[in-house]
Amino acid sequence: MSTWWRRNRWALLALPLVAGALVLVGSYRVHTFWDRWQLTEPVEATAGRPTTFNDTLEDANGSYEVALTVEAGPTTVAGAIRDAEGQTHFFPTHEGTRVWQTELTITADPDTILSGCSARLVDTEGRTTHYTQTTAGVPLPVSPCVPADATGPGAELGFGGDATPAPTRPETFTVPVVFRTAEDFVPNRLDLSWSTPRYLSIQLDVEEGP
Amino acid sequence: MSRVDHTARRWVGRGGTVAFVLAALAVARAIGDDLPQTAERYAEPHLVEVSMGQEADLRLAHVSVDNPRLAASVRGTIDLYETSGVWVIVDVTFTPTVEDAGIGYAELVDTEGRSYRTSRFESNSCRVSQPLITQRCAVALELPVEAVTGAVLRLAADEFRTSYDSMLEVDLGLEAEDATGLSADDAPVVLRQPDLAGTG
Repeated sequence: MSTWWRRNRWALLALPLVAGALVLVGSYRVHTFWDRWQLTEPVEATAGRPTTFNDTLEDANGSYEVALTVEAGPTTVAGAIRDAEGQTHFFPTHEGTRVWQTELTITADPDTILSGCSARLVDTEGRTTHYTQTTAGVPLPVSPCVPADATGPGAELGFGGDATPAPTRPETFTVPVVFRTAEDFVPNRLDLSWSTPRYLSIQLDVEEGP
Repeated sequence: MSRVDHTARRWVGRGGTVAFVLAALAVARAIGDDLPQTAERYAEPHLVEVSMGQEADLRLAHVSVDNPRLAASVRGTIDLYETSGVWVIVDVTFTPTVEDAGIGYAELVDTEGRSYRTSRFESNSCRVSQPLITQRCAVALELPVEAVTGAVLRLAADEFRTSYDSMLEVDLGLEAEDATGLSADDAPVVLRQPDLAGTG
């Protein structure tokens, strides 16, 4: 047996190196199948400080650039929201939950397509919840990143037909982003994304109300 | 011993080795084809077996099932649903742990291994809930009366993709005899709806 070990000593020594090399050679799969499709490239921002974010997006007409400056206000527990018509909607109360609101002040070229935006709230423990129109209990805008009554241009989805042109968006506007969370869910970051893997990750200034 | 003899014996020895390797490969292939494929087994949902009322720790949520009962008809928020078989109704309680999650997949499996999935628009009242927010909802599945005895319920997060994910399995402890005497004239079982209206 000892002769076998001796005869093959170089191959045996090379074995761990070869195994390591195989792992390295296959590692592109993490990039190809995971990194590009997940939010893996944060652009760090802090509430109260304007931060510029840009990304290259794609729709049926080809790729285009978005560039915007975002400033998040304080994150507070909210009782009601005012809709585009100026009407106030009270959030239904639900045992053990709170509704959080963060106002975003966004500056962007009115011709930029910004409506296809996703927002998620991350708490101090890393738990996440996504913005949806329904979770707060009152109807909210489809997109959390543009004014509901002045969305500006939308992405060309390739279904054909030409919808009525959306009302022009002002260059600078303020929109509330609203989430319902559990009582123990203390917001920490607000992530905004239009595509993967780049996203704007805002460190929130949380004001825990009464 | 001549040199020719020696060479010939060496070749016979090599031929034997080749034959042995080929035979071993053939046997291994014959056995291997009949064994379950490892990739398929990895992909199978990971069953978490619990008893009635006990909490299962699934990948995205803590889930428990209670109050199993049979009925001839169930009422959702939109319609009344009758069946030529029997309805099995359970109450579901779940709390997402790390991200938004729901109970999209519900299935009854009888002792023969037959599967009964959600069949009507309101068969599953569970919606997506947010981390740490407990949701109470109901699942109603219909199956033939003779399949009721020994049927188990399975629940998972995603309606269409259950591979690589955890799945709750609970024995309902129901008997076919429990279904005798049920009539469409009885008051329908009203499906429990999530408390937080408009969630998900």
